Amino acid sequence: MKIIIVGAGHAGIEAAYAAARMGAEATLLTMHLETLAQMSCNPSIGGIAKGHLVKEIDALGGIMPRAADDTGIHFKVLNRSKGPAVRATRTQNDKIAYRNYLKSFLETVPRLRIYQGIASEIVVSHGRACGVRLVEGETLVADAVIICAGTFLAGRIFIGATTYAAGRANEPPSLRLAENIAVLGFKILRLKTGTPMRLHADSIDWGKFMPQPGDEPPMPFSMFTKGKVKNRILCYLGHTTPAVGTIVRDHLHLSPLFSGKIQGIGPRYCPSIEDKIVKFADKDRHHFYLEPEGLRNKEIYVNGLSSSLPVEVQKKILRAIPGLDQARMMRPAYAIEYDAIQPTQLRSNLEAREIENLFFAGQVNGTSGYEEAAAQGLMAGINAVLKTRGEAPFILNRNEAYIGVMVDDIVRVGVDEPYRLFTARAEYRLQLREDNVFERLGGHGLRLGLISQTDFQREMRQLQRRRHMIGKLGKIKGCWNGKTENYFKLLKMPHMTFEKLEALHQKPLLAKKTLTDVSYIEACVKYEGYVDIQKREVAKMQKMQKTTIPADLDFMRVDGLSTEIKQKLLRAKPATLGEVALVPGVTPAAVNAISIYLTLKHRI
Amino acid sequence: MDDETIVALATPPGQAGIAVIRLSGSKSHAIVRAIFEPLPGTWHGRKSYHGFIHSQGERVDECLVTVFKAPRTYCGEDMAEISLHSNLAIIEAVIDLTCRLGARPALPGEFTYRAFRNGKMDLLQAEAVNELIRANSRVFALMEFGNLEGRLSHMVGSIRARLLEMAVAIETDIEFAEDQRLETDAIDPNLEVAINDLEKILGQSRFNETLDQGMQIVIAGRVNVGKSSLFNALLMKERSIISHLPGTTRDYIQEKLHIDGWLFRITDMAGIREGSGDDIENQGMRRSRDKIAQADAVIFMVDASQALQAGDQEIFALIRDKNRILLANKKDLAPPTAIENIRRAFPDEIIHLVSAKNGENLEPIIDFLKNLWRQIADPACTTVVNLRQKTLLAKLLENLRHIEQWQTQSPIQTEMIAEDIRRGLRLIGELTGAVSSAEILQGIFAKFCIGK
Ligand SMILES: Nc1nc2c(ncn2[C@@H]2O[C@H](COP(=O)(O)OP(=O)(O)OP(=O)(O)O)[C@@H](O)[C@H]2O)c(=O)[nH]1
Ligand SMILES: [Mg+2]
Repeated sequence: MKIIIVGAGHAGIEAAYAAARMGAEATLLTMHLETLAQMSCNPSIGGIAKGHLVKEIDALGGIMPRAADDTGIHFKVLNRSKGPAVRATRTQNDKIAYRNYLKSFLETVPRLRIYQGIASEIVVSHGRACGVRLVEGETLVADAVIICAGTFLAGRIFIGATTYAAGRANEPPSLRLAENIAVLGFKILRLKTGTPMRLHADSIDWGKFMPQPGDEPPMPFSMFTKGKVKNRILCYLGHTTPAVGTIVRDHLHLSPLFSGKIQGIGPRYCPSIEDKIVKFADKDRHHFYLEPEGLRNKEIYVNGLSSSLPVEVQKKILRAIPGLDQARMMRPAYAIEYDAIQPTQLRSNLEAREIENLFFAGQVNGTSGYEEAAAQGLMAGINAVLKTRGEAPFILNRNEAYIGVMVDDIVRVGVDEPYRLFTARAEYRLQLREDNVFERLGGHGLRLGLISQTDFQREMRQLQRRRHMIGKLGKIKGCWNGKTENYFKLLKMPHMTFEKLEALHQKPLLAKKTLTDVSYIEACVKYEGYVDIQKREVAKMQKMQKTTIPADLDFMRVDGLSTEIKQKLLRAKPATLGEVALVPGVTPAAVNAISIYLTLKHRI
Repeated sequence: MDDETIVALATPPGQAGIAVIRLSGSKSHAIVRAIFEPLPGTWHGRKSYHGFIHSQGERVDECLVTVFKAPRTYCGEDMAEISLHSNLAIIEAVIDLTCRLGARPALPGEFTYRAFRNGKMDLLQAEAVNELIRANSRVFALMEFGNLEGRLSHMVGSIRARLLEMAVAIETDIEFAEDQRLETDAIDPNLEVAINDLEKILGQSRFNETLDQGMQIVIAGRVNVGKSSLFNALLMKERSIISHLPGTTRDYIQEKLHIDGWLFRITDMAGIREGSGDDIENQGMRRSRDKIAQADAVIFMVDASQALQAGDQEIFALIRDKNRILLANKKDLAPPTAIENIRRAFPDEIIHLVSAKNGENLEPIIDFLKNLWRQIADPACTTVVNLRQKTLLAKLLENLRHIEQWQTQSPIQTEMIAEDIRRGLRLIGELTGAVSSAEILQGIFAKFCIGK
């Protein structure tokens, strides 16, 4: 079984690794061996919702979390002051080390071949992908093809009046593959993103900025990370000045974003500095972070100052910021426009609806972020193998994993701006936690052959330890704030924590406890009521989900649906009644109308 | 996993005769058993039972209950039907009772959906039901239309906006606050307005209250004009004592009266007369005055067989601001000039000449009563709104109270409050259309400067 993965970014890497682990001959095609696993934008992995994704990748045996731990130079758990469900891990990483780690690692993976070449065409025969043609003239034959082209499809960079074709700064775009994908009939979106300037570390007056240390002790992403991880750098917080606002406003006409040159749609959650200044005119300063790109590297990433203004204006902006007034730019900020496919053209296994055995993953699906890309790559890799084996697809539900939420969102609703995961997108947020990721996904990882029996057993013992502890809490009584209750009930109180409970107990309840242990136990106790309600909802939903909708159902012919709902359904192409109900704007009455129509149609 | 048990009125609302309330789901038999008191010895071994629905020791209505055992039922699961008198107040009370015991109001077409899901539907039924769904969606459309400009929709809309605003603040706090150093305004815990609004909708809306309690009607007039006679005639039973002696009725007597499925509470009172009677009678008369003040409408009666007296005018003065109908009683004894004299005395009133004793010309009274309902609401629409929405609104109220309570706790349980807010928005979604996470994100991006 041969699988070709086009593009060796974060999506392609997970796809190739998963496919190879599952027994496929995986060819990971990259334009340039040196830029494998390049972090094109910020030197960081994880964050809220994204950290959750990385942990899920870990439970499914993916490589991103291990690479992030190995090359991590700053570790932080965000939302530490909030509850377990919304806490998330983030690392700063040494970019060069990250690339090197992954290249060396992948080079040793059996059945995985890294190959330098430029894809020009997907070979399709009888509605099925069966290979990739290269610009170099070679044709690679395959049972399945996974496209992980990132921002390279017809990529175009904008800096002021300057614009040139590129997939990343000074790297050629994939023009022929972009054309080929359009010719194959895919509906193409034009999206936009940007990256800030990089500054030379020695040209920054660090004393003007507020240091942001990592957590002590630092927590790794991966349950497979054996040694200790270590914080090695500081990040810094700074602010722009009112003068920056004036400079930006004075030069706004030079920004391709505002002059109308850029037509692609950018992400609202990642605005350029000019966007921020225009949209939030009342704010006279905006914050940014200075993030080192590595240990043996002087490049500093200016998180918060992405821009498409001309280089001269970018310099003026820097001069207006105390501490950066002498800063030397090593790379300017730029905006990039690129092609993505509308992901509603994919099935839930990330396979193209119209072309079998052709999969898409990552930014090419209209998402943004390394973590989103990696998670899709993993799913596409697994599903490409399952498909060629003739086995049932591996689809995660919305109540099971953020991966499920994301894939479901993009294939069902589609995207109209680069899609980023937020915890708010998950209906079952209290259940999708970093602390219970193994419980949620470990079984899948084992079944798919992505984690070993030994690792599974070890984690299972940890899980049982935590569950056992929770069981015990109900059996011990204590008196707190004048109330005598069992520990389970005491822990349910808002101001009670596991730590305080141990203090009350006057000796440790759980030996050698980790942050994950505490988090898991507190979550299970405190969220109990909510989770029960949600589980009931899920059971209800699953019952309904069983009714499938024939692929050829013409919604326009269903009586009793408004035109608006019909159009929404045509776009969303729900596969089951459950999916119908999830399409925004669809009423319960509409679900009924469809089910009736199905019956009538069936009987006639 | 058990399905929820659903309940709904199966017959069209507002029509006279028998109403059927249908329950479906695993709890339906247990619920019926809990509220139904069969006539002695009839529960076992039969499918249909005669008896009473009771609530808190009181009989609500006499009814027929039929239970159906899964799988051979319309929906393919345990079901029950309660046939009772088609009276909105009763129907609603019974549905309320079942909901308190764990049923929930069915969505439009949900019985059919279950029947379909459980493979219980044949073509004929499906076609018939397709019609039903269309009819239902018409009711729905009407309901939504009716509410669009209405008070209810306005209130729900403002609660939705309030919750959305809170969701935006709290979700921003979760997704971005720490890293982005946002100065998110602390979530304003003030849900009081929303909670008050809901309490108003649920408890104090005139229609709901009236629906629960019945329209309050009093029969007013001087002593001996024939009030009790009319009372009995309307009730079609000998309830009040009638005599030729003035001052027969001493205290007020209240009875339920059902007309075309509408509930009235009709009160016969002590006749009001000037001057002094004995003490008891005076007390009775004071109560009569109070009753008039509380009434939704008044049936004012004079005696057409006698000349009008000062007392008639005095009583009329009490009801001048009331919804009223004016009756000149004892038609059979009235001299030809009597009606003329009365018309002259009450020049702006329409006067109906009736005989309470002989039951003559009572139709205008019935019409007057029925019309009172039409004046406060369109019955068909409001009932549908009531049955389904009332439960949702009650859940929403409970939800808001929970949020309010959470917010007094410290430390703030951010993600759990967020969960309650999302649940509130979901409940509202069932009333007005869903609130998507996209809408919340939109709110975040509009309000806060997010981004690297
Ligand atoms: N002929 C005739 N007699 C009537 C009519 N209606 C009532 N009466 C008589 O009038 C007398 C008083 O009737 P009630 O119904 O007791 O009058 P009431 O207004 O309730 O009197 P109080 O309770 O004493 O205030 C009785 O003898 C009735 O039979 C009628 O339409 N025609
Ligand atoms: Mg009387």
